[in-house]
Amino acid sequence: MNVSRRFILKGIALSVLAGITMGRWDLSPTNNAASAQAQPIPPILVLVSGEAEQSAFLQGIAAALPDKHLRVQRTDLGMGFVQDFTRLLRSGPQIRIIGLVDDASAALIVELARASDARLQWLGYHSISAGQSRHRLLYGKASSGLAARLRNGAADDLQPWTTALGFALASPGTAQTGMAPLAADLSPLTGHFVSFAIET
Amino acid sequence: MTDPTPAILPRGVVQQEFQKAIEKFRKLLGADNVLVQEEQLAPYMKIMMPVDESKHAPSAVLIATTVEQVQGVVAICNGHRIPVWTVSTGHNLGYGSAAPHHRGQVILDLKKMNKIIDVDPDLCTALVEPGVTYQQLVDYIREKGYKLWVDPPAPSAIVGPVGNTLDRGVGYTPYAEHFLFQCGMEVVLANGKVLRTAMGGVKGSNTWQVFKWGYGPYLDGIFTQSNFGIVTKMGLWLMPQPDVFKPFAVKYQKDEDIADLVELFRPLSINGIIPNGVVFVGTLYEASATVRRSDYTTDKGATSKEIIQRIRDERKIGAWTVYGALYGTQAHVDINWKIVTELVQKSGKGEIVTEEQAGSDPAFKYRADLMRGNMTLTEFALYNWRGGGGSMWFAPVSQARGSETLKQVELATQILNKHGLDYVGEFIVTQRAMHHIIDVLYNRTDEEEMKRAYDCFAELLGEFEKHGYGVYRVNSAFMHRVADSFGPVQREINKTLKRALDPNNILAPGKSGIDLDT
Repeated sequence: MNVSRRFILKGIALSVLAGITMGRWDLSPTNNAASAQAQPIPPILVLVSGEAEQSAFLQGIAAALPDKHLRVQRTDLGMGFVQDFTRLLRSGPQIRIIGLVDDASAALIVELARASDARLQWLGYHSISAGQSRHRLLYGKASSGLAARLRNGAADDLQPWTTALGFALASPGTAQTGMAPLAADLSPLTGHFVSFAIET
Repeated sequence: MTDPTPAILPRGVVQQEFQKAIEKFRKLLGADNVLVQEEQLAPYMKIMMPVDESKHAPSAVLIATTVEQVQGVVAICNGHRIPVWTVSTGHNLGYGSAAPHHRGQVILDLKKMNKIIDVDPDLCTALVEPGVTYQQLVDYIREKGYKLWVDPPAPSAIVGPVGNTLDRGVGYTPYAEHFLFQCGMEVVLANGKVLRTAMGGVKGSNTWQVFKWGYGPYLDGIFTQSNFGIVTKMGLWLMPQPDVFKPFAVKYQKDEDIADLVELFRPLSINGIIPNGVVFVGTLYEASATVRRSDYTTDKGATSKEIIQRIRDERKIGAWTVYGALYGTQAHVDINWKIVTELVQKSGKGEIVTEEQAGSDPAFKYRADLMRGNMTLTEFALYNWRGGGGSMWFAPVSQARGSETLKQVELATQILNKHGLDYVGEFIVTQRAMHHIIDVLYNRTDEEEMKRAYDCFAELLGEFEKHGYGVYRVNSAFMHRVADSFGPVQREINKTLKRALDPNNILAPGKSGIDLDT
């Protein structure tokens, strides 16, 4: 997929969520001012691929940052994505990039982040089949509470783990007490995904 | 800034000593280039091997930008007995990534040592630093308007020629055997001296990048797949852009066709009709560009023969797909194309696919891009075949004979399937030798599958060794095991060299099984 096509993505469920725009690399800090309940955080870009585009992960993010206008970008393995992402990582102003993507995209994103001196605050592998989820966390500083839940295998007890994950990565260091009620119309994820939080 | 107490220390180094070394590194490199915080180290810990990340966690990362800084790092490491694992771009995916051989080693990251020192458009040579990527080299060549090609391995844009060549990696154009097309190195030795190999030692010489051998013992080889020095510059040869490039594929429907194929194509490789490596891609490797296993099944274990056949039928993928390319003038290519097509037709099997016939087929485009040195990251799609982030390349080398193929495929498939994993493989014939490249893909979120993957890889190494095969390269979890395959005398010679060149054992102990402490 080339860059121009990414800018005109349509029909993705998340785009109907209030305050979310698909397919824009440019980030306006004014659209991402920190919420009252969280520590000040830099502008946020959300990366998703495949089923994650229609998952509760994005709902969790929206719940964490209810007053914010989020930019959400679909990943791919094209050179256009690599160039845009690298440019963003090296563009100067601090930025927080969080996401839930497939293994191929995650491998590429983490490599590019390291090449650009970015900090990795969270990296989690998630496998979901037959209603069961497995999680392996390489690093979970962004949310020690969620990390403990996932490590203990209790991720499905309370909120769906995808919602909790989105909330935690979007608001590092905060409790999840402010999470908005969930819409029930999003289908649960199946397959393999990787979550991450990177800061430049 | 107050440092947190380091959670990880180099082997045999106490905390106070380590802290002293860190302070010296900061003075040498600047505080911003000495990474010790967890979230700075985390990107270096992402591994694909079936072991816990903690086994390969670094204690710190150093970022150097000059030869003098590398000399300074070596001096500090000697002074405090700090082991240092050097990476150039650090994207050695499936072979250990950027993580050190063992826990606590300090990583020396040369990604910012990324100057393109020279590209000569007439002699078709380049001299580059370790952090230069193929993308950077391509951009430079384009900007200058030179008619030169590079030869990247599959992760192309993000990796660089120095790291890949030093690990004796390969590409897909006629310049695929990277060490063969390397010419001249600058190496910082463990004693801090700077060696320029071959003609680089002659004052005023302008032949460093054109004549490989120099005088006396040829030294460049001992700095590949080794830990005898830190390479800070490397010369390489670039391929002149041919007038005509003609990629092609030939699809074969039966598993057993592979034996005849190698016999058919080997002569074309040896006599230079097909000057690049001829690749014979198995079904699942070929499918990975467009298919995920979960499209067909979510069952645990190996993918059944029935499903593999369905993939072949529905996606129109052969049991084996041969990829090669012709390069040269129009006249050359016309003649060679006639030879190739007549040979295939005469063999009575195989469906030839040209670039025009392939159209927008992503698998063909990916292979064509590789064979002309274009940047492409399609190979990353392999990680989506099974998912879960586990990948190890198993890469035994054999003679380029048809008789070698089926027995290897059957042996590998039997071992992989026994451990619930799939055969995702290809062969690459480069004249007389044949690399068998298998991606052992598994799910790292499943502890039990991780254990199976580890056992599987160990069994692959063991069983192939019994049949006389050795691998050309391996991930860092299995380096000692593979070093054993090559016999005690090679191990002892390597240790003797290590003792002579790095008596304090500070440079990448464990690399290729070379470590004075084990």
